[in-house]
Amino acid sequence: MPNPGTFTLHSNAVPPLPAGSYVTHLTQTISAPGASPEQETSHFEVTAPRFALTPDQILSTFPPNQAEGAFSARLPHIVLKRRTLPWERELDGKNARSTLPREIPWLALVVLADSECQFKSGKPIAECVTPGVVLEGRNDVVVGNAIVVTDRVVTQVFPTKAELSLLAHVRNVDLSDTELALGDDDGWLAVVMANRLPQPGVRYRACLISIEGQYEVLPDTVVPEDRDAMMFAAKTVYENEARQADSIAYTHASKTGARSLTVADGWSTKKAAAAAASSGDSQSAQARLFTGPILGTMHAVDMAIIDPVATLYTFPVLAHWQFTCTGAGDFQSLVQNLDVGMTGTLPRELPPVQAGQKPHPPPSRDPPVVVDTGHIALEHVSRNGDPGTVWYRGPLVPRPTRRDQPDAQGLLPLLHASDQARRVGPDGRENLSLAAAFEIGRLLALAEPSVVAALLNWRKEMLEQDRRAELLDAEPSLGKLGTDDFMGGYARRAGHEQIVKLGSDEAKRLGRVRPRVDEGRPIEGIDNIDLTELLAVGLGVSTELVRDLIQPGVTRVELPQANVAEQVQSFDRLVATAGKEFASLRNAAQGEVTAIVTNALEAKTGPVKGTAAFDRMFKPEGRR
Amino acid sequence: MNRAAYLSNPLVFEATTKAILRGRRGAETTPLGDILPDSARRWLARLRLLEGVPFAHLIPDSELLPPESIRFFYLDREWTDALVQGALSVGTVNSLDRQHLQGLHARIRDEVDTEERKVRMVGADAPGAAAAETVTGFLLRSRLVSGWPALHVRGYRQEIGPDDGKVDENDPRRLRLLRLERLAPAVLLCLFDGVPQIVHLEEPRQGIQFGVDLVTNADGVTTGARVPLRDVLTSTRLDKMNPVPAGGTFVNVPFRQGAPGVIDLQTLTQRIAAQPATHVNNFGGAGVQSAELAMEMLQFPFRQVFGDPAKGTQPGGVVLEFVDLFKPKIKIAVVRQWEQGAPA
Repeated sequence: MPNPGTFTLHSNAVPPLPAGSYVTHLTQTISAPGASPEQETSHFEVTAPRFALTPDQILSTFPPNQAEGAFSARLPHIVLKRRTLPWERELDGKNARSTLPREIPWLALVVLADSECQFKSGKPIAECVTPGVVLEGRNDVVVGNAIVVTDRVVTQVFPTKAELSLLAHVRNVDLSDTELALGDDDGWLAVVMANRLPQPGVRYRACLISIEGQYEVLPDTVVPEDRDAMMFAAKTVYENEARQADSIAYTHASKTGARSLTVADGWSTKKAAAAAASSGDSQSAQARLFTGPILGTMHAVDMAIIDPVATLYTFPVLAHWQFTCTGAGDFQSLVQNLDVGMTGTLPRELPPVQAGQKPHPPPSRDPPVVVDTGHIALEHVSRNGDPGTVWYRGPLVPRPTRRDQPDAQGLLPLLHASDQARRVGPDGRENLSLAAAFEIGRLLALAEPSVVAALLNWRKEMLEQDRRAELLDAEPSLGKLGTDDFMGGYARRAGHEQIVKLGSDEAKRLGRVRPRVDEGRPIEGIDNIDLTELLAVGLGVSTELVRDLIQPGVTRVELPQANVAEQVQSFDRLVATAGKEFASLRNAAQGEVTAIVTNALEAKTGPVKGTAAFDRMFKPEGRR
Repeated sequence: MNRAAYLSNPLVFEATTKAILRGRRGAETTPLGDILPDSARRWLARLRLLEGVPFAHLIPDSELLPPESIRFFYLDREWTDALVQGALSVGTVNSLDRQHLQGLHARIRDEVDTEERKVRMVGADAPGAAAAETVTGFLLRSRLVSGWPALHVRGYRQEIGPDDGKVDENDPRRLRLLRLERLAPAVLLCLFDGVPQIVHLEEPRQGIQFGVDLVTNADGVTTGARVPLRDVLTSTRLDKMNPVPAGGTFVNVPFRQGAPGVIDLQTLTQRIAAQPATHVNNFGGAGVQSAELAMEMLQFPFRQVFGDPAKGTQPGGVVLEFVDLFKPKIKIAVVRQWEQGAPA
């Protein structure tokens, strides 16, 4: 086991027996006469994956599946848990022992751009190898994945025979180092590297392929690029490729600066050819005409259509994943060229223009006004509609700030509306930083109904609870309750205590006391009738008379004094004076009625003034 | 019960005003974390860490965060407090509500201060319940963010030795990260719980990687690639050796003709073997074996250290008030002297 933080590299881990069927013959020789011991024959099988790899055999891949990143300085690789896996099969795929050295792995990791292969999934294993190639022995699965590539791709991209063994190695890591071991059980891992650096702007598929039985297809030697720098100047590459009509313009995409070209681009040969022809460069036009159809995402397209004259090879794929390489440059160069500063720092000056270089484009606008505290002046239209500028500063500031602290009573200022936070800066312009912050907070909270509901409920419940506690505090008798009461019959006892207490006291503590006698309801026929009419009916006089009598403001005729003391001596005399007497009596009665009615209407109680005679006459008693 | 009648009862009204005071007293003794309901507290803490705040309100002008830049900052607590106050104001309907909230505000703030450290819990990293420290951080706008998705960010409150030294993961000087999030594919926001003296930006360590160093020209265009050589016996880089061995410490990476990115490994191994200081010929015969090639092409994660050891910045920085900015800094006597022809 290596020391923590370190690991050991080994070139290979070749198992003693390659995969295949084996027979052991056990013979025994006994020198005793007549003894002929049976020969013992037993069969066994050394198995190894052939067309498929179970996912648990793969510890990690780099770049990760579906990753997008600047991988252009890194070789893709796959880490396998079984350290012997790349050396478990013989290269020729025959049952008989191969003459090829066992140190050459049967697995290779190839990284292919979109247009360079046709990926076939779920095919019967007979279709997963080039027609004509026979792999003897037992197969592990019935269906598998495969890639179909042209001979040109094999020559250009696949590792050479000699490179194959350089690309697989074994690593022994410390298990306690999670960064390295990533959850492996024994710390021994096999690593298969690719031989290709991904190019920016291209989508790749990395395939762990089996070259069993097809070792001879791999190139022997390669043509090195005459200049090492060539491959990285994308423009040069393209031109270089175009000049060589038989080369494949893999990096077309890097010129457009986009991802790989689309299917539509790939098939628009006429357009491309026309465009190329119009450029006047017949040679490059030829090249484009040739390479045009093979560009783009064409995993489902038969390679025979793309490149009709090419020889096609099929390789089984044991594992595959896709990634996109974006941007150029490596981590170090990017991070060291960063423009470093505190917030509020304006972009650094552009480098001075060298002779022969294009001058920098003029700035499209003035630089923003930023002051030392991080405040920036922003265009603003006031509520009155006047244009102007205001100060604003976001939460990210170049210097530490002070924070409000609670006062002596433990109270902290609290804003209730954003306008409370509008400030006027020292130069007279408004400073809207905090007002904007308040408003954003309010809008963000309003955007989440659950938060609004939680806040509302919380405060309502809390207030209600405290209020109940205050009400209970105001009721001293509840203070008598002990803790035991909470367990049994607390509520009943509390209620009982309350009722007793309330009974002995006018229950003023709970609210307004109800009056002893309720105000009556109006009674039909009593409270809603015309009093004048009632009087008229009761007195047997006409309503008009009563109305006339009680008419306010009418002056009464002074009552004539009747001479009651005068004796009636004779009927004649009586008759003679009757008219006068009766008139006098009638007037008196009329005056009394008037007084009574007036008094009644004015709801006066007690004896009516000046009615003594009548009182005596009727002896009214118990008058209310 | 008729609620309006209940509330208009003078006794209840009196109890309500007292209840507001009681609520405040109660909040003072309630342990932090029990005052606000869980969901609201967590939401406010996340809001405090600027979650959901429109980017234009963080960086009001694109010039303040140009492409390929990093901007460090202090988090303005006053601003984030106003943010929280805005959120709290949502439930207040009448002045009674506001008075109630006002009484609780100080404790609510303390509680959110504690909670904001719990938003991002990594492993067994227990957040302290200490008072809120100054929060700082940085915004990084670069291809680094989109190209290296799992960038490691570490802040330390003190110098931690040599820049390429090994630092323990649980080093006590390491600052807690309050937030580390990509706001956009190429914009990374990081918030530290404290003021860092040193910030490490490290290439993600997804296992071990193999690769090359890209060579760029003055215009930033990649013109080639090279491999820094190592001695396979000691795994030391030749350019870090003392003395540096003769014969070159780097080899240029050869490529196959017409095949972009495909390395001509055979030529590369010959070039490596040509430098005797690598000692590749000592094992498994002459020439480079696969383990030796892997050793040469190993790429260790790059660590960029931000800090200013020369200046030794004061912890906490200097508070500068907005009001102080426009104060005249020249005495009137000086101006008068100018008028009399003194040199400005």
